[in-house]
Amino acid sequence: MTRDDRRLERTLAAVHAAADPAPLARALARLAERDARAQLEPAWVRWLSRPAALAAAGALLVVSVSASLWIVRDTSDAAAPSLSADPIAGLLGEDGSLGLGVPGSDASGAALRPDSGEVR
Amino acid sequence: MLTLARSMMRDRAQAEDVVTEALLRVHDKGGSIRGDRGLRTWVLRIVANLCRDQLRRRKFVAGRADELSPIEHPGLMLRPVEGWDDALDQRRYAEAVERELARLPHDQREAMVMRHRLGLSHEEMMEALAVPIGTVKSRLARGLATLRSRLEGIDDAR
Repeated sequence: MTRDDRRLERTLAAVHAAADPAPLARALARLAERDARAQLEPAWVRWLSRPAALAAAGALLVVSVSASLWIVRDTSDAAAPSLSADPIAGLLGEDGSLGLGVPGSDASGAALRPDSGEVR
Repeated sequence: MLTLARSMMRDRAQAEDVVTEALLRVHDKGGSIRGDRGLRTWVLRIVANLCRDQLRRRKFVAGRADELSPIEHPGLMLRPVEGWDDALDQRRYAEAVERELARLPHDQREAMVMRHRLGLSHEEMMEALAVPIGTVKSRLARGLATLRSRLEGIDDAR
């Protein structure tokens, strides 16, 4: 090792930080504050207030509301056709005679045939 | 802890923040450490990691290097060296060493501070930095060579 190297190493070693109680005091103050906060809030409240927990809860709420709306919509769509079709089906009748008992082709012929005026 | 943090951060306030945070982590995890063996290197590893994280986030150093004392500004002190050649200005030389030390790459600066300022052995540095012993020696050698070449002629002005 050269003389310059020795001088360099001695100079490096001669520079130091004096003991300073400030960082330790700040750490102790933060620990005390943390302990006081822990005593005021239950653990589950602290957990819920964490951003990740809040985000997860919000996402779950959105998913459950969407699923509920989908289920309700799906149920009402399945029921709606029978309700709306019933009056029309009732009017038409099975034979398309509009429930009047008159065959579809005769109905048009009867309309054209003049009334004989006979009284029965 | 303070010597390492102030030597690395070059800023007194930030160094104290690092040490405060390190003390909190020591408190939280200290229960798992058995005995004093390895405690020093474990604590220094926490400080070194915190310094590294802070320096990565820091984009610039406030204040120009030539306006601020490289020793006093970080909150460091210079102890008189025994047998120092009185013809040389130790303070001026020490400030030059500090400025060049601050210019070293982070890993070399860290190694130089731990070895020469904190007096850690190669094995202790290996534990504190979590790198192989060859890497420790390599960083020290490169750091010393860089400082030596940059400080050539600095003490010629008497």
